Amino acid sequence: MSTATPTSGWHADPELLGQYLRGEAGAALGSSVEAHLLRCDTCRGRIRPLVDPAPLGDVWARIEDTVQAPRPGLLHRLVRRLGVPDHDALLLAAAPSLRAGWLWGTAIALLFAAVAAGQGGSRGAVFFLMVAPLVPVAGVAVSYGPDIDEAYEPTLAAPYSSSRLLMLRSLAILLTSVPLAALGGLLLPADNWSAWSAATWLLPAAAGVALTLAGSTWTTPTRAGTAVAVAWFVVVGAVSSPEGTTAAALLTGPALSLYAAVALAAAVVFQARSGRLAVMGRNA
Amino acid sequence: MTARPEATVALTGVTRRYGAVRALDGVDLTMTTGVTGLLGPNGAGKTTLLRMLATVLAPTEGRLRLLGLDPAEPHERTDVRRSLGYLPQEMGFPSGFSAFRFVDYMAVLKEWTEREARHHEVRRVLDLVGLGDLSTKRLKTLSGGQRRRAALAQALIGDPRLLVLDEPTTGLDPEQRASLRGVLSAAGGESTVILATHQTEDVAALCERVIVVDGGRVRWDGTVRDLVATALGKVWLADAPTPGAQSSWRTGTGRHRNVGASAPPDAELVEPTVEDAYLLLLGEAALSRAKGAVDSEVAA
Amino acid sequence: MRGSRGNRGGDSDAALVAALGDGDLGALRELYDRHAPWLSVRLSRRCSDPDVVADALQDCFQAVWTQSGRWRGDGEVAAWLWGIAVRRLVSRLRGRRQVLVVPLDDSAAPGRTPTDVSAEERVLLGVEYGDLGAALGRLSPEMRAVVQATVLDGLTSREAGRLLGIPENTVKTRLHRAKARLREDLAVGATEGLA
Repeated sequence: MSTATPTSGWHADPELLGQYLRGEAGAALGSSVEAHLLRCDTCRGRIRPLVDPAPLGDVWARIEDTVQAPRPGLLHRLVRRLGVPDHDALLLAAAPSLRAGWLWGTAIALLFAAVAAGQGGSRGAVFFLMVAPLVPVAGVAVSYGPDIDEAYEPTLAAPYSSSRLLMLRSLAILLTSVPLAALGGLLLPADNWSAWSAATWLLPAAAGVALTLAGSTWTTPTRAGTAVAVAWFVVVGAVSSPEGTTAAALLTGPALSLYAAVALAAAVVFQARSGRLAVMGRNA
Repeated sequence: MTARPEATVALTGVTRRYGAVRALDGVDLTMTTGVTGLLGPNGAGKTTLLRMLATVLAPTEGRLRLLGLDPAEPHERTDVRRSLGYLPQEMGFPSGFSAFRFVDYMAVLKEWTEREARHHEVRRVLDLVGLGDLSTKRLKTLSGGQRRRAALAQALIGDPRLLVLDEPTTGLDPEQRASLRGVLSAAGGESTVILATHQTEDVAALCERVIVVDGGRVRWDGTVRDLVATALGKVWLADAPTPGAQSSWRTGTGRHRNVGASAPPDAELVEPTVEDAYLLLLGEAALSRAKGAVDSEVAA
Repeated sequence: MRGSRGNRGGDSDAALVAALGDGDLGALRELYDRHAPWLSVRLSRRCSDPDVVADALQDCFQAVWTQSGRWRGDGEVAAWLWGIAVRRLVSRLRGRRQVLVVPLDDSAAPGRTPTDVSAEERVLLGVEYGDLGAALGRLSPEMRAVVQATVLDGLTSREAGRLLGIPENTVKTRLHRAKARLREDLAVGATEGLA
């Protein structure tokens, strides 16, 4: 029975191990075996063939599955609550623009804009107006395309609709950047604007995003987004006088209707041309 | 000789232009189940051709028929993609992803919506390419060859009937190549596999048929055996490069292998390889391309 | 078992734990192969519900995967694993009053009295616990259960209470009395001289 080991000088014989396994070893003896097993590799090895492998195999399968598959993140769970199916939520949560870098950049840009707005009175408010709608646009611009998506080609070759993927990713952008921007908007001083104004930038943002999406059926989202951003800067710059008072015009009545109309028209164009996203364009 | 099985892939008059450049020029091809190699020098149009087979690129002219479907028609194109696996020549991965997460992501894109079945399939393809134990490691931390295998794994999801592989063996060591060959020949049983490669040894080991392209045109379309046969009597060994040989290089034994249209009398002829035939073929093709250029200059 | 077994048989437990930090799934599998059998048996002797034991085992190795950095490299990996496993068992038992917890007693071995203990077993008892082993055997089942849970398994009084399904204060009382009894017993034994 006794085989010398460095630790204790003996091993549990198979008879004793069998008794232990069957629960026949009694209290103190069982505890002794257990204490011994904590230190003895050989006896643990002897226990192994005596235990039914099937349930252990089942448990391992569950462990492996949990360990391999990443835990759904916060965004994934949030999106599931909104009723999005699990597999779409997975795609959404994996969107390239959800990388930490993008989120940090967005947060910093908005913080900057909000601070400038808070300090500079109407001038600062113009600055916020210029920046805030472009945050979602920039997000959509870097959400998709051969220059953005590392796995662009096999993604294209998959049956999942490219336009749907682009829209899902844009949704991810909106879900992250809009709350951030709204937060920035709340920091605006109340004197120059009504509380309502803090949210009206959403309409130019919607128009910008829709135009970018529509533009992505001609060229890459990055180029489309850049074009929209430039156009927006030009418009705001042209309308704003040095006092910044006329900038308010960009956020009132007729202008708002215009944004809504543009957003709608661009969305229709996108829908009509979304098939172009399914193959590589001239950029190949 | 058994009758040729039905064509699963058919190209008719396919041309792809980028401005003035013709990446593919009037290509007519058919393919069946089994493994077909695609050989050709850089810029020959291999990648363009494979992209068309993978439905990610449309031709400027001509028609394709893939698995009995027309990829120009959106619904049919999606149907083709449901039975398609594609490994591009170059691709990256979303940052921070492990091999498992990436292949799982691609499986979702391939419409594997049910989680458990999908994870089972992901494990299966990762085991196939030998990445089972590495599945939880970040792709960033893996070697180039291992990343290539992860990219290959996503192409194998769902056991596709059309498997399009652009340079699948780059970055793999000989042992990995050997196991890849096992994977591909198993797939070739019921699927149409087409793989582009620079390595003539891969063609010799893996492929029943081979297509040679150069300058956007098909130079050869037939069995590997027939291709090799074209070089019979045109490969010989000598102690020094023979003048007039099309190509000549020093082998490991110190002697020179010569390939040329006409072997000198009583030359020491040897069994030709795919590489020999390929060289001979492209030598002629390069000549005819030069001739074509001259002709068009004359015409202009 | 699913998946192919790699060649990790030569690696020490400590080396395997270190490899976990790199995301080495093969290392986790090897650790599981080595330790899951005895862990499942030991857990089963604390809880008779095999589903709860299976869940605890699963939780244990999932925790090992994410917490491998907490292993300070001191002592046996097996002891560290047991500490995690038993705490996971306690978590799983929270709020489950119907689960029959099995305190170790001698009822499964009828007719055995300390004098029936064979020479081999006496040696075993002697080596692991000295006279304490035999003295433990003479405690009542309830007292033995708390000694096992706190002293041998390393649980806190509260965790032991959850495991055994008794209030924390009862644990402390019984433990106090058990220790007193053991001290008494060993003092007597020292003068009488157990073989």
